[in-house]
Amino acid sequence: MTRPTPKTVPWDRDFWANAERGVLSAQRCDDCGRLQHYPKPVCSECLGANIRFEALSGRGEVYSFTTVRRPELPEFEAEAPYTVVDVLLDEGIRFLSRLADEQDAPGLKLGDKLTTVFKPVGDGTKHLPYFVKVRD
Amino acid sequence: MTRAVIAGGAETRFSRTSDLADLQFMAQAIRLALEETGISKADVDGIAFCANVLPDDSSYMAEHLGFSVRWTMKADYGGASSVLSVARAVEAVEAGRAEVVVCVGGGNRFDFTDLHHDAVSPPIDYAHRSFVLPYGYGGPNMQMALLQRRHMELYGTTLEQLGKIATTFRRHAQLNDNALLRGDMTLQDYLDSPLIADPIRKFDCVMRCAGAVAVIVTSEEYAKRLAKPPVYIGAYQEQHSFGANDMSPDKLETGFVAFRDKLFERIPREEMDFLQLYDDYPIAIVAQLEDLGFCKRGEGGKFIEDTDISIWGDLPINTSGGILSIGQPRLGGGYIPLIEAMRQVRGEAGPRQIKDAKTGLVSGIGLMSYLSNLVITCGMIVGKEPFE
Repeated sequence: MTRPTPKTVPWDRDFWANAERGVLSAQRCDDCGRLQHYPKPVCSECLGANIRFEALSGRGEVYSFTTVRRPELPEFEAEAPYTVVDVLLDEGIRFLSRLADEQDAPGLKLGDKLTTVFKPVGDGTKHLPYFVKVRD
Repeated sequence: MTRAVIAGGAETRFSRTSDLADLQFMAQAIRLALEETGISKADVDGIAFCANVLPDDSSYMAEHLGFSVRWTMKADYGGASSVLSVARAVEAVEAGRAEVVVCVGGGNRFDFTDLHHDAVSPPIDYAHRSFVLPYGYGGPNMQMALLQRRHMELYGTTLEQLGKIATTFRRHAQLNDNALLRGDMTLQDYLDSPLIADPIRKFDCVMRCAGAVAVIVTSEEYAKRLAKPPVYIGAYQEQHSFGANDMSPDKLETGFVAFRDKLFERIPREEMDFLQLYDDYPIAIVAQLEDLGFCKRGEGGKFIEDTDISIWGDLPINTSGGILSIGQPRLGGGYIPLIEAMRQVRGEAGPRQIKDAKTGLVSGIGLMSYLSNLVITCGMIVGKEPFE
């Protein structure tokens, strides 16, 4: 298996377009007002199709994290150890991601403030959101 | 109304490596289960396969193994597939769609690609494809690590408490000659095992293995003609995608909370002589004990510390060693708790036998969600006597 990269589908095109401009976004339902991530084919609250991507603050805090020493896929072994974070965004929704800089990992704890940065992945056409620690 | 029962079941030898392909393993387990129950292959009129990575449709698999049947299914419920397949077979028998249903799962390790004729892993679901795997995230070790981290931080759950689960199951496995991990394991060995995805360490992780398990569900009437006594089913519940619509779900609350009251409505928790819980990680045991209501939320670690969960204790858990010490033969792994429950209530558990074991709980858990935890949870109460 080659290293997995995101694949655009009809309903997440704008997420990746926004990411390329350095903007973290999530789907907002115009029918019921719900905000959701990951991108879904419809609003998973009301099943409505009137959804659009809305820019987020890109800020949040550590909900949980793990430093991976033995990756599941061999393609990631060279990067280990790396830290996966479950982020609670300021907008109240969660987002799975990874620390952009492993120097943020020592001493990391739940509740630490984070902010988004983007890194190109695969052939460089996709930009994936990562997080860095906000220093006081 | 027709009442369905578990007529019997059997497992193959488990091994780290093997030359057998998945369907050969499953055929071996079915043959052993037919021998164990004395059922003729020609009587089988339903078959359920727990085989999500095999490209063949369930009816083709029935054809490959020579089963001309009235009912088939393929269970794609991760680790919960096994218990769930039995529940579906019970429904089929009670609805009159079949009378003798074989439920089977297992196979060889999927990293042995030469043994497979086509795709060796299922297509990846959308969220994993674009929002999980590109980070080098994914797989149960890391997912359980996020859960265990939060449990330890919020509730003070300790590695010593989790280690007690792993070491107790290892002692049980030493009494099971089909368990692959039978060497002594002390608490210090557990603590010293290398970190995989902190705080998950090597001895927290289930080991994949080769092998298969089959269980046969029949009508009670049919089972009465067999040499061995059937196992009765007292209650069953399942939940899928609990909290799926919450965009910041509580990572420590599992689907068991959705059905625990119904599960124990007629047969209370206190009547359980043992628990056989799906145990891919010690933290999964803690989460299940809490959410099934054996202790309060957050007190699972303390409960383990204060309770003798060994065969000889107050609440025996995973008396054959659990899949943590036996090994995980693919989706057949979920039958291991059920087979041990069957042996305990039949009094066939040999050196592992619990005195007067009459009633027990079997659980299944499967798949991991993007934000929360277990996508599928199920529980089945089984017993020696018919439940009224």
